[in-house]
Amino acid sequence: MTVFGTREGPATLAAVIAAIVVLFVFTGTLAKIWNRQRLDRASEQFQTGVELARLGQHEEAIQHYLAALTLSRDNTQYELALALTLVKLDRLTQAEAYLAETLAADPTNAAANLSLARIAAGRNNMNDAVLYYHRAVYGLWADTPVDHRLQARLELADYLVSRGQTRAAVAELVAVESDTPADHALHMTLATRYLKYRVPDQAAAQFRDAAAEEKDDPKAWTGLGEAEMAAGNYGAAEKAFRQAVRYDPRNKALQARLSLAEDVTELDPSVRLLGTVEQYKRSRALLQRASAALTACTQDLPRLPAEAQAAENASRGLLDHPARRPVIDDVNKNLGVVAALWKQRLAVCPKAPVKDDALSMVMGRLAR
Amino acid sequence: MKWVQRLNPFAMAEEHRFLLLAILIGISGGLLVVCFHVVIEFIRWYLLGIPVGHGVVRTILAPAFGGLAGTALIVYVFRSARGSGVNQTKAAIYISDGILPPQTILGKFLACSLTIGTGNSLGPEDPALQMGAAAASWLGQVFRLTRDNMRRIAPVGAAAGLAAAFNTPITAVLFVMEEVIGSWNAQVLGSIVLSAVSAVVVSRWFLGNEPLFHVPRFTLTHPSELIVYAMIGAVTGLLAALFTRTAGWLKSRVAAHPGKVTLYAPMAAGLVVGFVGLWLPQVLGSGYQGIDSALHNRFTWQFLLALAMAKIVVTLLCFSAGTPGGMFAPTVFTGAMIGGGMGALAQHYWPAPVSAPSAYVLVGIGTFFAGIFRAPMTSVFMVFEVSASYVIIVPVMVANIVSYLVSRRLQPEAFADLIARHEGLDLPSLEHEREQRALRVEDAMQPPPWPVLGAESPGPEALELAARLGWGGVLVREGKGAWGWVDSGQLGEGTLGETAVPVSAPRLYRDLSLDTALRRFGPFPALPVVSRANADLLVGVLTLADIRRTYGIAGETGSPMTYGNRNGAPGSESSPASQA
Repeated sequence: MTVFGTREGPATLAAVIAAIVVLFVFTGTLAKIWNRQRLDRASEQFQTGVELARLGQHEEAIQHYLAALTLSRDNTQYELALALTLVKLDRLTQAEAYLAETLAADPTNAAANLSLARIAAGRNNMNDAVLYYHRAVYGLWADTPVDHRLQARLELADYLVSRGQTRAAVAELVAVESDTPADHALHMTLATRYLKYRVPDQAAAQFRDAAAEEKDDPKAWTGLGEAEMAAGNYGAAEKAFRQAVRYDPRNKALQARLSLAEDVTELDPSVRLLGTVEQYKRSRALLQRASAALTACTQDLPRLPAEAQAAENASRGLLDHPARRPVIDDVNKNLGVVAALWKQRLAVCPKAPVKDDALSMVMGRLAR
Repeated sequence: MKWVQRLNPFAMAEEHRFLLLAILIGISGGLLVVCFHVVIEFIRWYLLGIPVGHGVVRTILAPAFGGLAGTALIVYVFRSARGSGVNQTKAAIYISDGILPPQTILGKFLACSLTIGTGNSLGPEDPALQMGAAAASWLGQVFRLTRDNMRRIAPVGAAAGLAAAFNTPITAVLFVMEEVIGSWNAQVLGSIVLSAVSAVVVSRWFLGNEPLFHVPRFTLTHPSELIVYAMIGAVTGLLAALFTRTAGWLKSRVAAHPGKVTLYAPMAAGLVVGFVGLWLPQVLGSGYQGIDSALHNRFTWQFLLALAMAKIVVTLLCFSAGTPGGMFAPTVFTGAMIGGGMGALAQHYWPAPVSAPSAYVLVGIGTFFAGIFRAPMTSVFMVFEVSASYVIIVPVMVANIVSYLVSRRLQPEAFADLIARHEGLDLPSLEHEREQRALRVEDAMQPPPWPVLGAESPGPEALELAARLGWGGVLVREGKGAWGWVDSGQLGEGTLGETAVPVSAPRLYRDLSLDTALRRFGPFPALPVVSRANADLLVGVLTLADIRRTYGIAGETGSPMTYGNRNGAPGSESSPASQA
């Protein structure tokens, strides 16, 4: 480099470096202006997209989200909004690509994990769905994390139940009990789900807690009544329904449930501490109603099956000759014929609904 | 404080100063490209609007305006900024001793900002490459570099410009090596790498670390997918050949109507681009946003293939019309769309399980580029660098090499060479140079003379051999791999060991190039060709006459050439022995 060997060498080098410094400062200023405008425009596009999405114009919203994302490529909020809109339009493959990218940048993003969980659930990919749901539960939410986590876990529990994984679903609800601060609403939410998942004891416990927190809430008492009914605790159910009717006396449906609970309680011969006479009385009532149920379903048949006929005959014999001093054997004899009648009722008319709800419930309890 | 002195550029060795200058070039190139990028963005925001393609009037008119204004700048103001960046940089190396006029920088900057920013279907990489080269050339002129260094400095700047524009230093280095220099020149490799890295650091400093595309994780679902990738390569290779031919034909049509056509053709091309952009806004400008969308599986196969075809058409129009801008981005876009389209098709019809179309988009990125630019190494590493995935290498290699081979088979003249011809430049075809087989010693050597002489050989036998060969002397094996030359004048009655003092002669190997062999000849009329495993084993002899005959140089092809008098008289003044 010949200039280095000359007198003007240092001056040339200094001038070049000075020119580069000037260019550096100029570029820095230009880039700063550009960056500010870029982010402002990205934000504008995003807001337009949000507004359009709110109006249900998802296709147009996507264009604006994309423009926002082009201007601010590392913004996970824009990416997530775009992905969620794509999910709404059922473009799951596209949404998945954006969500995967969001997660690559921020693996703890709970909203992205929840969306991916829903996509995996929609594709019947249970392993991935559960994985993403759990990441959503333990991930970071931008706002109201407790509520979001609760909703994610409940959604996971519902999904597990829909896939026949009731025990896993119950485990999720139990985890909610330990993770989330308890209040009336939470007790009600959990209780409703326990009841839906056919875990009546847990449901009853939650409804009881809910009723304890708000004594005048008829829904809590109604729920408790239903849970006790499902658990076969008809006496407790009757009490709960009575409380519910007390706080909501005009509710006809509630009164019907109370009436049913009373009917069952009065019909059930297995209630503890009943005397033999009372048990015998109830067993005869059961015999009558079971016989009636069988007759109601077989009246259109040209000929009764032999076993049904035998059960009917046995029933008639017992009903026509009541015991004067009933003993426990008489009760058991009656209940044996009731069981035979019920079995025939279910065998002869398997599809016809039993109109006598109380009878069904008592038979269910006796079967247990 | 010795290290301080070592850092003083005035106390540095020449090659160290060159490396320092490479860093300065990288920084300058990076800064220029950052400004270029920002200005393109500003123009796009203000003239095309956001989102691109939403305003009907501006979408139609902006490219036409950009084409007209950009071309007017080149035609009336910055004439030196005319032409393709790669070819102009090559021209600087091979024609003008590394000198590129400094006004090229401003000319390319303004003209290409206007054309690309307004949505013309061209990319910023080629202009960035030329701006980098021009900046380097200007710095070289300021520092008054020697002619050799001036020739070396333009590629250094070119690498800086390309690296900053595409945000991929490895790709830039490889592209310059493959397309601009044409060889793996160790002398400039260090400075090219330094400048590319410096430029990328500067570019990331100002524009951020975000990669050009957000790429999905690549997986190869089934080995049979490689067949699909090969098919993508074949289709893109075919289209690349077709593209090159059509571009050449269109260029010649436009060149046949000089004058106002030069100015208005880019405007007309811009109008077409605008109309196409109304329906397919992804084809406007470089199209990187479209690639990003395709990488996120946003398009159907029909749409992807439509985008590819539309991009080919509008790029052909813009390029052939002479609209200033580069071809790098459009080729990347087209390859990506063809790859994605065929990948999405494979999802429907391929019998084995296949990956998501985004994987094919990613692999396709380099295929059309490989077919157009005939730079297979660059195309492979470009995708590798963009995807940061090792798994992708095999599919990319398959697709790109197939594309390269198909394109070369169907269109022997490379795109850059064809364009250079249209620009009136007779530049060396680097592709042909790369593939030309160098002549080797084995192509020219003659079988070893018999007998092979040693110190124990009798003098008369050596004399007879010398007379028979006519070299004016003989080659003698001295043992332990050493060979010597004995002039005929030293040969007498006794053994060679008694009468002669051999001059040590260099050895040749059959795989050496003739050029290297020629440099070793010195004063010797013939040199021994020995085995690399056993240097005492003579496998042949090479004479200057053999070399001349092999190169087809007319003259005394039959007779061996000797030093001094051509008769090879013993003891001639310039014989090896006398020189020794």
